[in-house]
Amino acid sequence: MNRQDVRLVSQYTYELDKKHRDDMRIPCRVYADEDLLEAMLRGETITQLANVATLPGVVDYVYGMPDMHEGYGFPVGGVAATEMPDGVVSPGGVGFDINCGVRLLSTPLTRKRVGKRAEALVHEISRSVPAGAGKSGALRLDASDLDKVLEQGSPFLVRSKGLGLEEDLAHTESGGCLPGADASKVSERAKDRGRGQLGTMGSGNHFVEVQHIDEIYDEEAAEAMGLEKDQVTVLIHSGSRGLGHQVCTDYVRIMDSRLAEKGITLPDRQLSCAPASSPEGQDYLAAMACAANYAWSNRQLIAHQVREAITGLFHHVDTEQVRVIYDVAHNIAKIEEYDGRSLCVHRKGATRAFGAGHPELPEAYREIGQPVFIPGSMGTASYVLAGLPTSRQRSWGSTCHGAGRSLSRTAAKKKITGAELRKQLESRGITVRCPSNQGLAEEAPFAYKDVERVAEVVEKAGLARRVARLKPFGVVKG
Amino acid sequence: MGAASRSEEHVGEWKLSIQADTPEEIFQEAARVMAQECGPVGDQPGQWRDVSLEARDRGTLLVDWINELVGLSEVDGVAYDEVAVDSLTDTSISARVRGRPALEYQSALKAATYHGLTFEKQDGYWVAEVILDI
Repeated sequence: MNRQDVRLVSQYTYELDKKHRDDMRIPCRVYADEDLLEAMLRGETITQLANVATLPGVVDYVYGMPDMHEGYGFPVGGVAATEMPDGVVSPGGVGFDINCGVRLLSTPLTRKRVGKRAEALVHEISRSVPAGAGKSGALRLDASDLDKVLEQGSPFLVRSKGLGLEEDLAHTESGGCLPGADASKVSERAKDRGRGQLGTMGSGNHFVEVQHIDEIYDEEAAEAMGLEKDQVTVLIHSGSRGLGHQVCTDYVRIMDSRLAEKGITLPDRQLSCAPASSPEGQDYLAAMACAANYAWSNRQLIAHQVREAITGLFHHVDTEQVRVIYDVAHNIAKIEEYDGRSLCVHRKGATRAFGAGHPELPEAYREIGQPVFIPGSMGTASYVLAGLPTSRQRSWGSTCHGAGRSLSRTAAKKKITGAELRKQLESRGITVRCPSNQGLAEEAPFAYKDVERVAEVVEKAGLARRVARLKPFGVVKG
Repeated sequence: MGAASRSEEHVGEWKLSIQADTPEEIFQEAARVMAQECGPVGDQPGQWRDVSLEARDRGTLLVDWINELVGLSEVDGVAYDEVAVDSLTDTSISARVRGRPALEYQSALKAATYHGLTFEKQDGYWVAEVILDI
């Protein structure tokens, strides 16, 4: 794939024509600047986007977000919609970590008020939230309760277990529960993997980060979200853990084995899919919904644990004062309506970014647009944005999920050791808690794209607008 | 020669390449590599477990094998590095696996994918490449 293969169609918007390859059904659009595009063209990223454009039932455009990078099957940062009822659903278009996502909490604390207790705060959070691969959480669920988590999502934890506030649910995408979940479509292996992991962060690029707001760009939106300069916030990044991984594994295997009988040929087997109306498609959507509900429950429990850490250390802070700003999914497929068409919108490493007026938005945000989060990597800023109405027509109401990797884990570890990185971060006043130095090095800031540039392109491409910038002073990593 | 494996750079994920004299050794080496990812282990091996799988071809079988071990390891907290293959065809494997308890389970592997999958004979050796999601 060369630079000549994509043409600039408008500011920060590039298009790969469907004539580029015979098997492409529709063109692709990529939101980027020249430098971000150049990085995408160096590997297979755009080719993978073109592969997605071959899926049966895919419509209009396949979109690449500014942080897009090479994955397997779908690129990470890709968005594609297929038309119901018979357009396909592809588990690879959601990813193994179903409903990996981000939740932002605000607190009544300021950076100044936290002062020298910053390290203690990070330490308390690290004690409260199990981190690392395979870690078990404090909440052990019996079979019945696990099925309720899968089918009812975070409302079950709040209303039946008292693990959070009712207000949390209003500020969670889909109210923390995707409809149509059927626990019988989730394998016993998946349930065995997930049973003890609720309330755990996981590993890799998952984290709980403590920040303060160092810049406000949109006063009106910040006020609606309850955000102020110097306010302390907490960003939680985690997903559906082993349960979600197994659901994806199970259904990619099933769909891959039945491609031939369904007459589907694909340029990449990891795009394995089935018509959404087929038994396999329906089963996957029901199982995916379960995994999504598990992930929202996971972030709900982690948030509860963070609340307890904060109120335990700062006794004057009440539980209700640690508020959920919003919780977004960035690996999910959702059935959405666009101009009379029912579409299955796959967002892999991409989030919703609905603009003002959308009926699915919580009341508090209906006039400003949906909160969107672009987490940076360790030591770099993260951004809070608000979705723009123009995202609907430009990207199926989507935007990017983060800064996107630019270096492999191996390459990152060659450039810096975990111990060196820890020292660098701490010298900048960032307290780090991470069980593995190797894991830390793999997530070094230079392994990711420039988050400032990504956020700028998101805004200039009309997908979401910047509201606030968050500067980290503590990170707990898996 | 036995089996040898190496990891390769792949932005975002992990590419595993295995070379061996026989297909059976490919499966055994894959188990050994997966077990290594679990981290330090205890001394006492556990019980043997049966693993039987069927798939449409050898490469798919290897992906399914790795995924079975990833799932088993995570649930049991055991690094399954010992493999006794009872039968192996192009489309099926029947084996027993045994391993040691992980002192603190560390594997960040989510699953093996079909992306870029190869399993073939090259220059007298069997070679397999699998990309795993981390």
